[in-house]
Amino acid sequence: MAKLIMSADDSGSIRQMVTFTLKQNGYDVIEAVDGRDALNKLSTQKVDMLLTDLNMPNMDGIGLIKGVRAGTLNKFIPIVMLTTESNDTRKAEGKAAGATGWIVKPFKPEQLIAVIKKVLG
Amino acid sequence: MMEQAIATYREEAGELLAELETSLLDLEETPDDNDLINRVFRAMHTIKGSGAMFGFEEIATFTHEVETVFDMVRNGKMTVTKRLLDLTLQSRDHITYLLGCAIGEGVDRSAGDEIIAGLRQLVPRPEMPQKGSTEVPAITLPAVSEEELANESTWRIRFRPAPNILLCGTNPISLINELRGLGTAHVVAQFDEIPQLADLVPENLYIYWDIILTTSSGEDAIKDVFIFVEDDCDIKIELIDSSGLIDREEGYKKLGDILVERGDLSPVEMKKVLMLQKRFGELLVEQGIVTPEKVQSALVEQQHVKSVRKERSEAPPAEAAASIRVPAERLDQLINLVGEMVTVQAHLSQVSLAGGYSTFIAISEEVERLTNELRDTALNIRMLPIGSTFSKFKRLVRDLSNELGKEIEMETFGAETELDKTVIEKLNDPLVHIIRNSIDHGIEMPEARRAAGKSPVGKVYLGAEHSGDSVLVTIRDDGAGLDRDTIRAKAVERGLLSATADVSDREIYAQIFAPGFSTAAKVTSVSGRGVGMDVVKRGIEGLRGSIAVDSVRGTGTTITLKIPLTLAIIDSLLVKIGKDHFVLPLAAVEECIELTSDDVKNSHGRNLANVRGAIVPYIPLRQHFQITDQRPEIEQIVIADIHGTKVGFVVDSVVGEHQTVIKSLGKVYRDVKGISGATILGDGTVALILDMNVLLQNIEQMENS
Amino acid sequence: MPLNSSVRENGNVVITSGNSLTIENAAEFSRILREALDAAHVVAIEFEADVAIDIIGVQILCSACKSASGSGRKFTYSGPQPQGLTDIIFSSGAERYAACKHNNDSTCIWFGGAQ
Repeated sequence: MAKLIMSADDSGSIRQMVTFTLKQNGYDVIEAVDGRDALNKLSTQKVDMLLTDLNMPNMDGIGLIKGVRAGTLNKFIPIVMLTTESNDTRKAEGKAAGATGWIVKPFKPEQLIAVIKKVLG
Repeated sequence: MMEQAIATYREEAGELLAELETSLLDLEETPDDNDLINRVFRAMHTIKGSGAMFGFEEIATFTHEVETVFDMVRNGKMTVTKRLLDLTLQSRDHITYLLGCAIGEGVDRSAGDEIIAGLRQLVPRPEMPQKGSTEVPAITLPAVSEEELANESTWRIRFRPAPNILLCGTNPISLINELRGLGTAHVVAQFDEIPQLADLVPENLYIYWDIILTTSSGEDAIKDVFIFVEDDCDIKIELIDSSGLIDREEGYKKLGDILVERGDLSPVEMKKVLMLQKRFGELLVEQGIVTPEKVQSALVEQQHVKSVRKERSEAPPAEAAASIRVPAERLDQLINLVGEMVTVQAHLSQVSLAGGYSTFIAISEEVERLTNELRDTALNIRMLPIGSTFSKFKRLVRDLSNELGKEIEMETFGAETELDKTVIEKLNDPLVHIIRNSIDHGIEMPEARRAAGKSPVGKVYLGAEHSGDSVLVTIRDDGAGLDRDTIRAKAVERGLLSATADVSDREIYAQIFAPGFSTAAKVTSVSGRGVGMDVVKRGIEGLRGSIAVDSVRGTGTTITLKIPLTLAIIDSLLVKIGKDHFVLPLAAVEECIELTSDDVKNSHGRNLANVRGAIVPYIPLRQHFQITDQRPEIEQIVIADIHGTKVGFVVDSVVGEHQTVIKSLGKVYRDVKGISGATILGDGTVALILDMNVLLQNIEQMENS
Repeated sequence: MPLNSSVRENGNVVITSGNSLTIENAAEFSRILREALDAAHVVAIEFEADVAIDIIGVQILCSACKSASGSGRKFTYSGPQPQGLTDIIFSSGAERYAACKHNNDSTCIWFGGAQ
């Protein structure tokens, strides 16, 4: 069964690129446009993994990660954050909130897939 | 697909820029509105991040600067001013311009640079980040393998995950499986810290792991596995064994030492238990010093490394030789440098002896000893087991015997015998020729063999063994043997031998090395065109080796190649004729005797010397090389053994033993007979290296004709 | 049978595994075990053949075994070990062939393949 990944990003172009790359590699994808949208969807939809941007309107990535870890349905899923700051406090914040890993923008499709394979095991 | 995403990006960035403009204008009204500041920051951030994704490098770099400033505003390190808003609005226009440019096209940076300069002026001094900080490298992914070093190493990894590792979505088993993917791994989970149910936080992880991993990937590849968890987990990676380690004992560390290294046992405790003279592991457990799991884990490490080391030592010679891979040129360079060193050292010895200062002489002798060791070691490095070539010949035998309808097996021995790499390479062609000949002319057809009472399956033996400073390579077949009479007849016919000459079998057999010599009745595709054995001979002599044939009619032929171990540096005897120095390979030299002018007179013009009752012919090199200056009263004869024949070489004086670094002669001198190379002496003069083999042949030919 | 426990006539407690013993239901599984070991002298797990077990499941089994041995109870399983348990034992390097002090110094019945 194909694994289901949620991609949360306020940038349509990134979502498009991520969804295309993931589907091409045999994953199913649902998209969310910001943290609040993602958290809403994740409260009823069980997924195998969450891929989220950190800077989003309404609810940012950190808030989303905290929300998912505090919930029940997707409490233990791997969460990968998309970040532009490889060494920044944001990454540490994300880790503290419960992120599993990260990928630094800009990234190539094969890098994205490598990280996803790594965290999905 | 990408084009579509790029189009979406342009659209999206356009919208963001419009929103940015509104936000900036609003911010002019309410400069303290954090919400607006955040919105500006986020817009810049998205434009930058996505821009970099889709190849808008200019936008990413430029926007990064603006974003950095707004990050400071957001964090209260800067305040919103009219000037900042002006510059940001200009930035917005500049980004719009950049968006319009095609990717990769040249852009006008002047406006952007001005804006950036302006923004930088606004920033409080120490806070301004260095330019170029956008160039954050993407994370190194475990999938990207670094250049594979042939060096296989064994690592001990203790992986103690953070208790909440699973709560953060990491499955430690995936990480362990990634490690397994790098090589051979033994994994032992440690349970000793798991509490009873009453104290268990069910979702926390108390288990930790000892992993022994043998891999050719380096430490970085191992670290990459843990990249997401390294900050929160306790990860210890230690190198415990490597094929490159100098200290290569047969077995592996004792159990106690492993436990002490791991920190599971203190040295004091180890000593205490060792006093009790019982199986160490059992004792540790019995005494409750170390848990059985930890002992087991250490035993796993012991087993793992032992088996890796065993595998390594049992690997076929060729592979074992590959355990440290060094480019051949680097070795050649080393040999060259050692050669130079040997030359300089010779000079040093000369000078020190001339000076007569005893401390200096002692030092120079020490240098000489070390240089010799260095030379031997360096030459040794280039030694390879000859077995790597042997396997190629098995294939050759198989293919040829099929082609000719013969049944032939090949047996090899001494595959581990080592020879200089360059020698092995040059040995290949001669061996091919000889083996082809054995298969074609030597081994009979199965029916003929049966009729002769032999097994229908013919055998070719290929072997190598050490003999002094040479290696003997033997090719033996159990075929028909050489036909003495046919060869003789052919040789007489071709004028190589006189019909009546009394010659030994060996000399007759040696005729097969004459150019164009073939006794084959018909030419097969394999051999018989008469090209071959003379080429073989030249090839072997090019290696300063020699070739000998023995054969028994009906039982088979043996060809023995005597090859010097190395081509680079040889022990030799330095002699002098007139003002010139010459060098004779020491391996063939037996002794030196005096030749007085009386001796010469008494021999009545024949170049024969009496060596303890035996008559030994000699070659006066002075005449041979047409050296005309005054002949000394007492000359020296260097007696050498060349393929069982004793020959003397007359020289003016013998200087002594000499380490000869062989330099090849240039093209012009390549065909000069009797000289195989040159060497440079300590004082910089050149000495020619005599090819005693060829000198002897020359004389023989001159006498025959 | 879902993850549950029931008391037999002889006073032993039997716990049915359900189809998953993972971090998702770790809290429930450990609670059921704790209560069973408080109440009964013999506690046995009946595994579903296709039960999924992760490293947390393994950890809870080990913890329960230590608890039982600490209080002189017996903690065991009936029927064959499910594939899911064998798999995680192998992949996590949990095989135990050495004596375990929590199991009267005999080989671990859970991870050593002996019962």
